[in-house]
Amino acid sequence: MSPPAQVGPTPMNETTSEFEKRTRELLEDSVQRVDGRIRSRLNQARHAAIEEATRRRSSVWRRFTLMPAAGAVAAALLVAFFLWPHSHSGVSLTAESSGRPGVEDLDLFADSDALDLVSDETDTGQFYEWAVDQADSNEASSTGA
Amino acid sequence: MPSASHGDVELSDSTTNSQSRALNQFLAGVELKAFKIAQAALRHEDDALDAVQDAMLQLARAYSDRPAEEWKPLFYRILENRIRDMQRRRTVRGRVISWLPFRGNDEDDEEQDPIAQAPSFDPQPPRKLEISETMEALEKAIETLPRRQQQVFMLRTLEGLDVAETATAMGCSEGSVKTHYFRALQTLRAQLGDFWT
Repeated sequence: MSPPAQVGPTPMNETTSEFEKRTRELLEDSVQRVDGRIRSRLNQARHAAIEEATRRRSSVWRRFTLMPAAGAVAAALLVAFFLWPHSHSGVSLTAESSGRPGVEDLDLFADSDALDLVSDETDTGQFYEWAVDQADSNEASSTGA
Repeated sequence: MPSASHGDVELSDSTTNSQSRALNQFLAGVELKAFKIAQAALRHEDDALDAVQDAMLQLARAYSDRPAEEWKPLFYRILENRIRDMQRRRTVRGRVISWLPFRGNDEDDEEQDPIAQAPSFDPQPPRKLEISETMEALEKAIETLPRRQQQVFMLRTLEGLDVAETATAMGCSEGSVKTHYFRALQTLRAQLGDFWT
């Protein structure tokens, strides 16, 4: 009856494991022998690193907590930006105040007689005089003079 | 609402404190081993301290928000990069100095320092002396290893990283880690055979 086959590490592996174990013990022992000066400096370095991490986290957190307020301000500015031109033109709808065609000019173009005058290139001066008169008469009628 | 924001601040403070405690615990656990690894590579105490300090700061700055289990490979990756930078800088400095006509011989002075050369009068028991000699022989043998083998050996043996973590820390494949480790063991066993019998 033959003996059972040997199970487990080969002699080579066993030697290597023993070698590794001994080496590890020695290295760990050498770590424990690190002198006080080195330990002190490592301690200082560690605390500096912790402070750095804490400072960084605080600033990131502050950024997140300030985000809603910043968002509200940005939204308000956006609304103001879009509303500002309308409220400005609402002060005066006349052509001379804004430098652009106003509501009164639209009335002029809506009038079919006025359009006829505009199409008559030979009488442009008369058209302008007529338009001014029209404006004056409208103003007088609205004030009741 | 004031109460809610106050609660948020308290929550953030407690989170920050617990993260700081975890980071502190992690760094306290690795700093001495990291120093030994850096010292083996750089062969200079102050340079090794600088490398470890830089690695700690970099980890805190860039990766402290990452899960704690990722810190170790990341930390050793940063440390390795720092060591490599310092070695490169040292190589360049050495080349520049070698071109200077009136360079000092600091290394020779250091070797001939009478205080460093003087025998120690600290009475050591024979066992302690034997361990010291073996440790010294081991450290010298580790210093003579090629850089990658040395790095793999220290990370696997001293820090206890597994193959995958070592590969992450070194930025190479797991197969490469195994090869370097095997070669390092072979070299060390050949050199230290007398101390192990």
